Amino acid sequence: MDTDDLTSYSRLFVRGTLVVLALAWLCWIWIPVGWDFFRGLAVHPQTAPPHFVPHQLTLVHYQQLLTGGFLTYVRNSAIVTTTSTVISIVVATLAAYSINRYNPGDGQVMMFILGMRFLPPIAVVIPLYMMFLKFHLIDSWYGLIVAYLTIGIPISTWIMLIFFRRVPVALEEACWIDGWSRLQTLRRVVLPLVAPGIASAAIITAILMWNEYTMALVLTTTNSAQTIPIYLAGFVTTRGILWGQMGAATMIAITPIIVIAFLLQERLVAGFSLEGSDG
Amino acid sequence: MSTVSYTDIDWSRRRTITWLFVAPAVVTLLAIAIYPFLKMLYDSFFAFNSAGQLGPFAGVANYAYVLTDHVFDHATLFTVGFVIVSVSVELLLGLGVALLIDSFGRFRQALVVLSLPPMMFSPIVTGLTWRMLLNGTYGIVNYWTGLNVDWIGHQPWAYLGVVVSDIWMWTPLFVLVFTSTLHSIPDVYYEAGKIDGMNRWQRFKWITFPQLRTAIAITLLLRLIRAFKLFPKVRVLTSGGPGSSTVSLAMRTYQYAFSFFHLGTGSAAGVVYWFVMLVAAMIVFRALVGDLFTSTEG
Repeated sequence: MDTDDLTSYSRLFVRGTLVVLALAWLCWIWIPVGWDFFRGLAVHPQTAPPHFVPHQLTLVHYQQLLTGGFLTYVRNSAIVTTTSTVISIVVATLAAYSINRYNPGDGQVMMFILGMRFLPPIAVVIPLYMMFLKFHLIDSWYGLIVAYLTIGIPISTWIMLIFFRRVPVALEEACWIDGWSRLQTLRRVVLPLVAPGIASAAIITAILMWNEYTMALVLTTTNSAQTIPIYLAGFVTTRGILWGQMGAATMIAITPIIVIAFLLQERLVAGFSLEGSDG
Repeated sequence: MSTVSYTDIDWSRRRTITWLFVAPAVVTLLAIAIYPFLKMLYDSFFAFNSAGQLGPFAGVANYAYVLTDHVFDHATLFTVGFVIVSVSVELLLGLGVALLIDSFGRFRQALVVLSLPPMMFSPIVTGLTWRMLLNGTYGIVNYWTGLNVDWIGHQPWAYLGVVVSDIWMWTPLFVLVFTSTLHSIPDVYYEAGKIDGMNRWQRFKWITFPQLRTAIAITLLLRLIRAFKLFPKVRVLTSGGPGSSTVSLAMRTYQYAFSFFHLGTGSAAGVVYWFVMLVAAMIVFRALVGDLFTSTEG
């Protein structure tokens, strides 16, 4: 907001108000995160009246968590997220290239892939559950990896489409005239140019899968395949509320995301603002 | 989407590569999304035994059961109300915060990045966090506001709790989309507006808002679809309570299929749920996006 049509005195006042509002906004965003952080470190996480910053700090909740089998869930999440993201990105990059350059089926293929958003996960997962029972894919990494492709492929295709649109076709045509094959051109010219797009798509897809709950709830039954969100939900549904461990587990679940957010902020911002939302 | 005409390519090779490249995506989605979805449509007309095996044809019995179940009916109302209230507040608050952040030239990017984390958290994390914050005895919300309210156990507080946690989580998305759109509006537009004697409000109305319209429409639509999937958050925040007042459509569908193990009823509920979501999306699409493409304003 420009303030050059105001006197310097009221400009200072406007400036001050804006700063106060911005700080209030940041508090609103970060206080819940800080709450989780301090629950995980507090000797007495539940006190009445509550202490936002606890009087005594400890790492015992983290210790209990890590020796109590939580790492198995972290491993499952890491394996499923990585594998499914990689497959989604490869499949989606090819599809997006083809859709952007040749528009197969006059837009039908594009609408088909993007229309997947309209399928609620719980509606897909009921029949998927019955299919997976037959193929013995319940409670296995493979089942979850396959199920997550229904999320990963549409999202990454959407993001990749936007990035391919920015690569001029003339560039490719120039390479063909120089005698390069289509695949050579794709590999040496087009893919390096959309690399930032691939990074954006991969980050967002991975975050979605890391956080996914509904499908994991139905398709996994033991800690041999259950993921972090299932473990976290267990604090309410099966294990009873342990605020210390809950805060610690929450911090472990969100740390990779916050680290990614700060290290790769440009790619993340580009991806999210283009994509609009996750599905 | 720009359709490109490649002039000097031979057609048969072009077709082969085109379909070869989209085939993995299309085939995978047909197998693990479309086929299951069609199977669910089919299953919704059958009874199942308790072992999950297909039983006799049941006609519309599953649908009759679902539609006359007052918990399902309430879940429909609750979900639709939740979507309308949360998404509207997120849109307005997001717009306000985006305009605020846009006024901080040098710190703009930092403020945007610091606003992002909640929307990247799992809904489970959000639900658990707010369950602690809103706890009547040990939570910070009652303590800091001086209220003495049983947020999780009483209405309308539980509704409010679900909405507030959703607003915390998703307003950042609107902030992100709006700040990047605002940033892309060329300064010369505002200069021109000033020369034409527009005041601040006129500049917002005639320059900023038209530029934001597309972003608003698309984000609103995507957010709406996402909001309809409400389930993990309420599962850990309120567990559907008090009573079953915060049971959402997705949660009720889950309960039919996997708590009561009525796969036929669950399938019928899934179909009704999908249909409600589709109708809502169509209404919003017509109201916002349809108008966007037919209107003539530049």
